[in-house]
Amino acid sequence: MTKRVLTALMAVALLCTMLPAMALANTGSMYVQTSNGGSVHLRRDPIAPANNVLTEVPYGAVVDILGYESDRNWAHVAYTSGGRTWDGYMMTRYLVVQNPGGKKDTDNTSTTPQMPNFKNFKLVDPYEVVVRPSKPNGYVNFRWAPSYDCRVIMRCYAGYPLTVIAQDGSWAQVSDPQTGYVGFMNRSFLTTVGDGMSVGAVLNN
Amino acid sequence: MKKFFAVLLAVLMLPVFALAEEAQSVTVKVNDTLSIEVVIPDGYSLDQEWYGDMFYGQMNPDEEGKLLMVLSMGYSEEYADRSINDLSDEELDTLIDVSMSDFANPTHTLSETAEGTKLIIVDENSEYDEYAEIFTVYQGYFIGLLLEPAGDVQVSQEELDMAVQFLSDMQFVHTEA
Repeated sequence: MTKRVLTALMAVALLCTMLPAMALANTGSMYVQTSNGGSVHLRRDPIAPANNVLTEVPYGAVVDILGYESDRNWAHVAYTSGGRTWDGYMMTRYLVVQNPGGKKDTDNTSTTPQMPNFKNFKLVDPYEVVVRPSKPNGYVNFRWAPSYDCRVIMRCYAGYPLTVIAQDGSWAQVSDPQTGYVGFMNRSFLTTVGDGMSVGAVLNN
Repeated sequence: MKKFFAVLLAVLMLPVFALAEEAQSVTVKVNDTLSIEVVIPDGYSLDQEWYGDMFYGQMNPDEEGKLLMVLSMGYSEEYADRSINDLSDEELDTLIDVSMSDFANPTHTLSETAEGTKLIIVDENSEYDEYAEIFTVYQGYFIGLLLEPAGDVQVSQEELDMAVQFLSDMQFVHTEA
């Protein structure tokens, strides 16, 4: 209960002090992002593993979204490279709205505790996101403050929907419509994929 | 006569042991060509959930105060069709980094299953959270086994051994489409 009260108080404090900003918009183009900087298969059919690979799409490449399969795990995309365009399917978990830039640094092994830092948080027009773990099997920790050293409130599986209400460069303050919890999640584990994305579930809350 | 009764008892008990073993073995259909067989540890029951193409199997202890385990598995395009033992040292280092992401203060050790498949054991050492997770990649599938003790205690060596045994017992069964 104490955690919930603290979380709620923090949410109210942030809401009172932050400036509004524009929410991210989803577009028809998305970028390829993988946890190891590797490429992703573009497949003839929305099935994996299978012998249906059309080509490899490198990390950071842009693809045009043509549609989604009904379960939203696969996107129908067009990929152009070297003057040729392929039309095929990719797993949506490897597609992000923002350019991922260089290979993501996943090293969080610093032993120095990080104090939560709220001063750069900006309130945003609330927008919907889904959880995108760095591990293809994974979950993401939903924390009570924006630091890896802060306690985990619950864990959210891939595809779990949340609403972003504030953010800084690295962290987002998110609310969970299903539980009512408000907490923080690293933005690298969130993505706006589009309406109807498959919905995950909360573990051990 | 004693020998006879001993043999008779052994024969009578065989179906009981067979039933007991069968009850603990669960087959999960992953797709049209692959199933996995897992042996649920004594004192646990399995809740299966699918979120998209990702499988989550939460193993709940029958008694309070015991370790909670969650098996998760998803096909990875990053490691398509390969296993952890196929990775180069550099790729393994990257996999370890990925495995430790979203942990506050992790340490890792390498172990292996009975058949020699490498396992990455990541232990959380933060002030507030005590849990560990074992990762591996097998035939393109990224597999994690989350270990969450009841209460603020570390995962014991005995619990880790049970988890490694669970992964060692896990079988991939390929079938024709």
